[in-house]
Amino acid sequence: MNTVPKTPSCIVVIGASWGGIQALRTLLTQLRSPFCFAVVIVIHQDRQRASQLPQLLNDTAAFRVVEAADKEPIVAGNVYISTPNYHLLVEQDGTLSHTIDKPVNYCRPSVDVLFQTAADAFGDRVVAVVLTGANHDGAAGAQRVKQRGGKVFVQNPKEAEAKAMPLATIRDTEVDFIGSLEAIIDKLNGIGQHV
Amino acid sequence: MPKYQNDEDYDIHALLEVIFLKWGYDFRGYSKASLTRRIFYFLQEERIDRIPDLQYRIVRDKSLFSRFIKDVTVNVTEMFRDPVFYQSVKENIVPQLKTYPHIKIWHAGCATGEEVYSLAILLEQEGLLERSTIYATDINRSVLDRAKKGIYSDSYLQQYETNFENAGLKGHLSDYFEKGYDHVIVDSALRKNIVFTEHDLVIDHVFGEMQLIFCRNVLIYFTRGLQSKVIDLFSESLDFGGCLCLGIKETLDFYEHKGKFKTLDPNNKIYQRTR
Ligand SMILES: C[S@@+](CC[C@H](N)C(=O)[O-])C[C@H]1O[C@@H](n2cnc3c(N)ncnc32)[C@H](O)[C@@H]1O
Repeated sequence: MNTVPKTPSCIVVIGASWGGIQALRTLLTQLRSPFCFAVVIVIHQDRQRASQLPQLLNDTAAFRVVEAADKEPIVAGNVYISTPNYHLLVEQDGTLSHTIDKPVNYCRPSVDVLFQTAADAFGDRVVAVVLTGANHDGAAGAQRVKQRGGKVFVQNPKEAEAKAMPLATIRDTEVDFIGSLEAIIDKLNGIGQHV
Repeated sequence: MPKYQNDEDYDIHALLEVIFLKWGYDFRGYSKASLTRRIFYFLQEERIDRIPDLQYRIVRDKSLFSRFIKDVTVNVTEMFRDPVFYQSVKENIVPQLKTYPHIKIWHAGCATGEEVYSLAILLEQEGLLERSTIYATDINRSVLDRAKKGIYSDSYLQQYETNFENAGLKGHLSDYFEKGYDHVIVDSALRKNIVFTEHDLVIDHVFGEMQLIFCRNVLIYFTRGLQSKVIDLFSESLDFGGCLCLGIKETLDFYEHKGKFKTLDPNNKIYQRTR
């Protein structure tokens, strides 16, 4: 196995809001490691109780889960999580960056901002996953991901703890897959084996 | 391999080159993702279809360029952002400031001034404001004008009050404001030792011997190369023993001469220049 950090063959960007922590825990415990992609997550959280989340998720996962640092290179096999009160962006040079620009869809971090910048930077090497959430954030971003040739997977609204976010994405975009959390995890594990 | 990933990437680089040549403002070292978002927002605002059209017009139209500066910089800020940080300032920096007969403070990238007045309130509570001179600078003149006036809409006041309480300060934030119809005005006593002035961190020079520099949430907009250059500038502008405060996503970890600094609070990004 190669131990030198390497640029991922593709990035999986995930948006989650209401009910998202539980969903992410499930997802990260069942992701088969090592995988050849990197995962970047935006989750809406209370701005005060912030930074325990990467720790919490790190404990359940078999790989590195960290709060994204400024200008941190995205490395395959790692999972990066947003910081409350900052938008998280993907740069064309394969690093992560932040901005305190105005909230988008009343959200900071916003899933749209992550998805759009990921699509601009990684083009068709993006898989966007929209999980449970009680607002519309992510729908516009998913559209951009499709325009640039990437794929969009959406958690089945019937199974999501809050359905508004998956529904909004499905309404606006011709998505590639709608399914249970487990089915989405299977799809992601599938990508891991292709490359 | 081509140097640019796609035409849009090329257009943006070309635009930044032209702006530098014509107006002397240098955005080439800014992080592209946020800057690109802001440029597309600007195109929409100005109803300009394509970046090459903007490039053509911006060299011929000074007022368009002024609006460009105003719109592509991210000026979002708040009072007592990161309340815990202000607690740390009180613990780690204030005792040392008390030993100086006169204190010079620089807020680099102060935006509309909320951060400047936040620190001024803290200094006032510690009995330090009287002997402080505060320089508040930004690249964007229009936010400086607003900062100088110290007039704020009261729609965020609730959040600011909460921040104020969590920062562990005495009394109420409203004690420092005069109430207007839908806005508040910062007390003139807080404002009298503050000098607001234009300064561009990329091209302008060192700024006198400071005891304290705040530059929070500005470096996130720069690439690593430019960040290093700007940190050089700060270390030259700081007195020995002076402190540098960055935003919570910013760091000196990667900085080549980080040996010049001691970390006073790693979580709140408070550093002290020791050599
Ligand atoms: C997001 S605001 C930060 C405001 C405040 N320090 C805070 O943390 O809330 C960033 C500010 O940096 C300013 N800025 C950007 N580039 C600059 C430069 N080259 N020189 C000086 N200021 C700059 C912007 O105009 C903007 O007002």
